[in-house]
Amino acid sequence: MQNVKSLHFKKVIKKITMSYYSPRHGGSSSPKSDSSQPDFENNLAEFESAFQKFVAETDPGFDLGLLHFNFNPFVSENIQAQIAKVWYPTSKQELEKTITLEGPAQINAPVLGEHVRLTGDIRIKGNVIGIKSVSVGANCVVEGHLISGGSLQIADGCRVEGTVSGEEIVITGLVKVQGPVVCQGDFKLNGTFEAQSLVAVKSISLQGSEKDYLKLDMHSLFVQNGEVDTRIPVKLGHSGRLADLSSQLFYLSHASDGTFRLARAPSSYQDGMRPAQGTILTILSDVELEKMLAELATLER
Amino acid sequence: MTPSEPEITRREAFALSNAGSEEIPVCANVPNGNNPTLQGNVNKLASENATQVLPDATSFRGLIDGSDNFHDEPQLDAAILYAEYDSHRRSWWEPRRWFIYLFAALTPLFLIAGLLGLLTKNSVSNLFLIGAALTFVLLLLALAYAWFTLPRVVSFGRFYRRFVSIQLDSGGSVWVDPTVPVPDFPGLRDNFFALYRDSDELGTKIKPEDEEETGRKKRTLNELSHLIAPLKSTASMAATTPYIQADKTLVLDNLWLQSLDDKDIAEISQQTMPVPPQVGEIEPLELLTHEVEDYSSLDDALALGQEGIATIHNQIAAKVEGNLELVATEINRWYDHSEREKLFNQSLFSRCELVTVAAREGFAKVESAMEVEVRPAVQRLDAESAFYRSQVQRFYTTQTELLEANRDGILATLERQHQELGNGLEERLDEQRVLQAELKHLNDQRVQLDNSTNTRFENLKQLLTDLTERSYNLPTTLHFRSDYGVPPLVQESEEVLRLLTQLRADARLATSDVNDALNRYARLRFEPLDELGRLRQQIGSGTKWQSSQWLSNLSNFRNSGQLLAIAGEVGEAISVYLDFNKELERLNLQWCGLEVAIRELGASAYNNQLADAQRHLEGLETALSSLHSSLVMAPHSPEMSRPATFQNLYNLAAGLQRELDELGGLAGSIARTQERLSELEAELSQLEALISQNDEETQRVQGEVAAAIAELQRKHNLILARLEELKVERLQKIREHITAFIQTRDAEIEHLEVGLRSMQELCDISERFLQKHLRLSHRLFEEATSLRQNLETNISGIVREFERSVRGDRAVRHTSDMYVPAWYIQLSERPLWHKKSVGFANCYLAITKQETSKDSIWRFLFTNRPAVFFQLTEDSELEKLLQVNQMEYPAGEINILPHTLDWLVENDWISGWVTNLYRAKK
Repeated sequence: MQNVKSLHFKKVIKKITMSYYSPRHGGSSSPKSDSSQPDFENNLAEFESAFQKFVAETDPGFDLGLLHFNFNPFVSENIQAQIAKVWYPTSKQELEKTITLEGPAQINAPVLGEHVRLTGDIRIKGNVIGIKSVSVGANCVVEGHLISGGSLQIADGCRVEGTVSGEEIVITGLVKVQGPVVCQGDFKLNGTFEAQSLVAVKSISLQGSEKDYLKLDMHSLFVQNGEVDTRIPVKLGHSGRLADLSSQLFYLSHASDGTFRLARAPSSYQDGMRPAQGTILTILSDVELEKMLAELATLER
Repeated sequence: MTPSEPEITRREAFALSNAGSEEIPVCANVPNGNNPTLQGNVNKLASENATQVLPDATSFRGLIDGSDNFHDEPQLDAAILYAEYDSHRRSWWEPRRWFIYLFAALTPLFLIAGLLGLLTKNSVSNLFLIGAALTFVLLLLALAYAWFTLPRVVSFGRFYRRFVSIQLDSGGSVWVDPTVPVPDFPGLRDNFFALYRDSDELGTKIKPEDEEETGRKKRTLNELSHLIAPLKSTASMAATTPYIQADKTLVLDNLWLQSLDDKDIAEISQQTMPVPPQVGEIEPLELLTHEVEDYSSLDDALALGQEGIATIHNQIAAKVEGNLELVATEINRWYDHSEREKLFNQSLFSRCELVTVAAREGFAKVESAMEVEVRPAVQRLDAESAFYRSQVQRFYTTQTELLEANRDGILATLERQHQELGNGLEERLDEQRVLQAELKHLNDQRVQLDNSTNTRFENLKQLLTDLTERSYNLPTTLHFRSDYGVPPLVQESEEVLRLLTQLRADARLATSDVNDALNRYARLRFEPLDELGRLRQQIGSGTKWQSSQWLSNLSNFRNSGQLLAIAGEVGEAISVYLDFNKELERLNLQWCGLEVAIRELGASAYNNQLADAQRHLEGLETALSSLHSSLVMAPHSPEMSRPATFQNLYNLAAGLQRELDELGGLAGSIARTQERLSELEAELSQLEALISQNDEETQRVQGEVAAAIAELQRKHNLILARLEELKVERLQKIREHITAFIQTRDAEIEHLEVGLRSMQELCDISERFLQKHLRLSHRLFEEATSLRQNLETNISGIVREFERSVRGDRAVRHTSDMYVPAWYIQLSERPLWHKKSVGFANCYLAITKQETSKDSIWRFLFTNRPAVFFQLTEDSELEKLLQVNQMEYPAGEINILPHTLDWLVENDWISGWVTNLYRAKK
């Protein structure tokens, strides 16, 4: 960790700028967002007039003068005195905007926004959560979890100490993650990637040059409903043993009784549709073992 | 054959059978210790007949230990037959004999009683005789039944079972049963050695530093599965030892042995069951023997603890131990690895869980910031809404209170009026009730007075009528008669004359008195009476009310004294009339007597005087009739002469007057009361109408006010609901972006949890892989270990058993046959009526004679003691060894010589009776 730190964060923090800019479709959004104040600020006239009109219609004998003077009006307190700068939206106007951080900088707080963009050379001591997308520039360090509700892009030279989770994850260059990586959609790698484990729901695509590789501490690489397309070596386990794609890649299908079945080839099409199945690359087992186990199944009964 | 011959033959045979062996056995170890003298004899005979080598005498027959008196085999057969038969006969006789005793005793008793009865001419003797006949018939029937059901021997005979003794190279021999199949000992041994051979390499290729986990696992599992391959194909693991166990073969040693020549063997073979095995069949047994001997020598070296001796078995056993240890260590390493893997997976999973927690925290921060932003607006909305609510409530509460106060005032007035009306109504109702009671009382009183006045009026009228109209009936006036048939009054004329004179005087006097009375009566004045009559007429002609005006007149009637005087006068006149009417009759009678006397005397002179007297009498008569007509014409009543009558009259009139006055007053009261009642009724109906009007008014007021309040309430609720609705709408509008943010947060966390589940699935799959490998390898290892243990146990068991039987150290030193005898018997019995066959076989070891008292028919019939005088000793172990109960016997053959029966009887071995019985029954 010390090495990484010295690599990417030797520069002195020069400036921190933070700007809110309109989202991609911000110009054509509703007029409410254009006004200086949101519509819930001191704007109860509509409510009052609607109510008084209703009263006058319902009961003509009602003395409307009773409703005119509130002698105990609520005095609004300014409790939003900002003590410290926060890196998450605190008002309605800020909610739909993008948080952009420019480095070099060090942020000692968690960052949360609809879209989070770290340009580069930024160290964040906390979690980074982007509701719709997260983009991490080169040479960034996240000393927490990196979570995105949509796309997640990580550039070369980044390091994450916690878990990485995202819908679509795209990694370019050399990236290290000390925790597990969970991808709800497609995982694309173009470079070298090290992590504790990698699980993807849809597919895994691994590409890169000859020197690139994928290294996982866990013994397996798992795609829940899809396939693995790899053109770089995959090292599994603490010892970093190279997985043999020809013999250790299995297609996994779930039986109705909760058990699973491993097959060397994808299961056949049924009624024009392939049944939902996953792919697992593991160094724990191989086909010969499975055969032998099947032979000895009589003993197990 | 003399009685001593069998003994000699047996001992010779025994000695001769051992003569072929160079070594004389140590007989002290022979389990057959029932004849200590045998040892000496054997030694002696063996030394004496050392030269008589009979190498062919390799067959023996087992003999039972009998007394010396038993010199021939056929007698033994007969004795066994009789012993079996006698025991069954006794069990048959036991229940049946009591019937026969009973009937046999009753028949003579009844007969004697019947004969005595005949002699003494007793009347019951016939019954006894009939009883005797009946019991006699029953006795005959019982005897016939007993004879019919007596057991019959269907078949009897002797058979032999053959045993083979196999010689061992290292000395000694063992008895085996050739009918039991030989186990596949070579196959067993091959399996055992194959196990050692296969496991030689087991586990030796495992190197701990080898990182190729897959290769290690594969090798180990392959080796283990190879190892247990024989286990899956071989089914002879549980084969039992073919040898008769040492403790069981001791039974064979209890038999005496008799050597057999070819003729005997041929003869005995006829009786051997089943058919003895062919010659070649012993060979596998001999081969097996030597195999076992070889193995046992191997084992001996181990058992002696010679560690230095590196026998093959020793080496390979140690090797297998080591190899299995290696495999066990490897499997334990797998376990450790699996545990580590599980921990790693758990840490992975927990890190993923932390992501969800972190995301929640981040979202919570934004959410709280948003809440802070909208809080003033929400609070102001709350305040406005609360103000409106309170104002609306206050207004409608005031309205409602006003309405209710107005209503309460009206209702209080109406209530007061209602109360007053109610009080008036109550008073009038009370008065009406009192008046009605009074009216009833007055009516009762009026009716009572009316009745009373009516009675009084009727009584008054009756009394007046009595006073004014009633009169007495006076007797009519008598007329002068001259024809009274009376006797002559006197007989003398002077007397006649005097009487005539007196008669005339009396007549004159009477006439004058009557006339005086008439005059006085004529002077009477009857005006008061008329007045009274007038009053009566006035009163009687009208009603009681009309008579009331006359009642005062009646009360004021003052002429009662005059009426009393009139009544006295009238009464006096009547008494005068009545007296002189009687005087006239007396005088008339006196005249008639005088006339008769005159006529009888014939004194016509006195006729004139008589006529004169007659005139006087007629004058009296005339005066009397005048008086009578006067009295009859005028009404009068004797009541008038009583003052009480008038008093009564006055009282009646006064009472009537008074009551009539009362009645008049009463009628007035009644009329007044009725008038008041009708007034009250009118007042009451008026009051009730007023009250109902009051009630209607109250209800109307209440209904109107309730409707007004409900309307107010409805408006109130409507306004409040609308207020709440507007508030909620406004709040939703204020919090719109927060709600959207929460939805986004939920979707995001759901996403993260999906990822968490994927991670968990991966962990589960890894764990299941590991567990499956572990389970299988563990199982294979256990199978291999148990296979080895089973094989070792089996083989060592066989060897140990063999050694034990060898150490018995039998006297037989050659491969030989031994024939062991057994006897079968089959009986046909009838427990009640149906026939039943009983078949069994027994083995006997000894027969001993018993001294018993002399036999007699009585003892035979009346006791249940055995009729054979010897004891047979059976041996159940021997029976099991020979499996006699599972043999099949020939039926219908009785293999026994006839003269043996006579021999047994003559020598006091059995009772003659059972022989007779057997012969008769046979």
